[in-house]
Amino acid sequence: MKHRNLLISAFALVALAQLFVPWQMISRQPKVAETGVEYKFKVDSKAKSDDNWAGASIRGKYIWLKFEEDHIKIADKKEWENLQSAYVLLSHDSAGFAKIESVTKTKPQNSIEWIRARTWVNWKDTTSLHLDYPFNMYYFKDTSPKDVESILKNGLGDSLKVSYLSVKIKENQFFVTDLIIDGISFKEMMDKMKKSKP
Amino acid sequence: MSLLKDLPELVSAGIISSDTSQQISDYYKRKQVTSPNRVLLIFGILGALLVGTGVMFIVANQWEELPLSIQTMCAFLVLLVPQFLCGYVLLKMPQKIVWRESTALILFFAVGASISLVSQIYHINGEMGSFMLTWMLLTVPLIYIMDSSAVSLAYLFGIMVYAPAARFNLSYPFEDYIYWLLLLIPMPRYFLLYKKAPDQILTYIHHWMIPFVLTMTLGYLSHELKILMYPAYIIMFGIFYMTGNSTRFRKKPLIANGYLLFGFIGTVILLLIMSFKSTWKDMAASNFQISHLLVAPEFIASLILFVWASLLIYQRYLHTRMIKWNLTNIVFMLFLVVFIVGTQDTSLAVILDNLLVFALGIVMLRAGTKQSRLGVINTGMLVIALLVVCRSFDTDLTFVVKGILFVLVGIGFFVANWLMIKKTTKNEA
Repeated sequence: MKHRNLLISAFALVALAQLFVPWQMISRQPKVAETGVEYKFKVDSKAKSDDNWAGASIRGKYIWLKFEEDHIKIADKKEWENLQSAYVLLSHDSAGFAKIESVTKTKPQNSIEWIRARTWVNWKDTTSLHLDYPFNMYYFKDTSPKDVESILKNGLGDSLKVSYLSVKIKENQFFVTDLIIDGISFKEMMDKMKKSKP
Repeated sequence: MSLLKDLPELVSAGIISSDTSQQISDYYKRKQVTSPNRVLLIFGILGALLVGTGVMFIVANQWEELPLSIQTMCAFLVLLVPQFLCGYVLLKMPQKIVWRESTALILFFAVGASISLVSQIYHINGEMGSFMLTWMLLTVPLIYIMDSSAVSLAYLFGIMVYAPAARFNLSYPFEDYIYWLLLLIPMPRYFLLYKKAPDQILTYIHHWMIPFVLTMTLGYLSHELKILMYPAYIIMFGIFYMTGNSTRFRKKPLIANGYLLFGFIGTVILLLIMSFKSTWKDMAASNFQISHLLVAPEFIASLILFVWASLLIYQRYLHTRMIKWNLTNIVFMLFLVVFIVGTQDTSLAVILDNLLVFALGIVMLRAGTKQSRLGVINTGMLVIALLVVCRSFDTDLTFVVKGILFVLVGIGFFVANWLMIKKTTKNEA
């Protein structure tokens, strides 16, 4: 009986922990949205993608975004080759877009404006360290991939149009505010498109 | 159960007493409670797997038209319903293995599904490594609390997926070694399972899953001294082979002995890989200075495995008071000698490795002939054939010579099998 009670108590504790994790994930979001620093990551309209437009491609229900600030010059590739991720310290450029201040191997101590990114060195260009941010996949719900495709083709295909992902960042925590394509919110575009459909 | 049906007849015929009849029927009743119906258990777990996969598909598809609050509620419901089911089973019918296994497995998937759902709803794209680690840590207690082998198997598979993510993510120092701690957690239960229910189907699957997971993940210890992973792997395969060849495992059918097959096939493949000159090219560039070696994870892994293998040999010696110098049992030790030779002279090591594979094939052929076992003879022939195939890749032999070699091996197969079948028929007659 004692053994059974112990098992049930242990199960109750585990069940609570299982519920706590998703709850904590949700509860952390408003805090980051409130106190995080806003960064606008400019979509690279010149970068080629697997699809027919620049700067992004669709994978299932995600838009994979390619940002302008996603690499830095490095002197020695050997220093970075075996490292799979690094800390990216951010700042703003004169136009207000996100700029990489520095990339370090250790956690920054005196700033909250940093994010951990996956790093890799391209075999073709060994002088650049490439960074994959955890928010480079933008999830689109409520919309069919075909509608998203037409928006991306019109918006990102034109290099004169400026598109960016707005993200609030605080010590590796992030909150994606919106994807802006040529000055218009992606969410608004989706809503309009939904309403216009019979 | 035909015996139970026949009991009244046996009692009336005076073969057994009514007391004995009662004892027999009690025994079967008890047995039915403790050992589940194998078919029911498999289908219960398959059902749980399907439900789990179904939940994952729903996660992938999302409920597109629902508002955020309902979606969030659903994410929690996905978790709460299996939790309630597990709680109910634990309270009301803890002895029903099928229920325990299937509800625990559903909860295992539900935890992963719930975290993924919340991540998608709130656009929280975390790292694969941290997602897998959280999922595994939140579900590993179920192995013990629900006494679930199915969760243990799913967990082992899960940490196998986590291992590369941890190796390459390195969110915190030494993250790549956390996998090895995670691997230790279900082991006490595995040993208990092996003792308590050695013939249960889920125990058999464990005997396959553990060598599979270890084979897939040992390589992630590789850092700078990559070449040292070869001895590490061969010692590990040696341990598998010795485990599979131990008194307890030898009695089991081959289908329940994953260790033996992983050990043997792994050893042969590795020896064949090392029989190529090109595999040894890293040897010259490797720094084998003691100070460098002592901190190399590849060396530490090889050393731990070597001590483990030596203990196994010693334990067997204590048990039987004699060491059977069977080549397949000690091939890893001979390879270590070849490897040490290789640090000085790689060409000589390549020749010795080829000889080792050849000797292994011959020893199996001999053993097969002695024991009149066609399977062992053919395995020995296969080892030699594979060696010939490998050599035909990197030698400058003409196509005619290569062709003749293949024909000779083929003829060898036919002749050996024909002679063996002839011998068996003669003995039977």
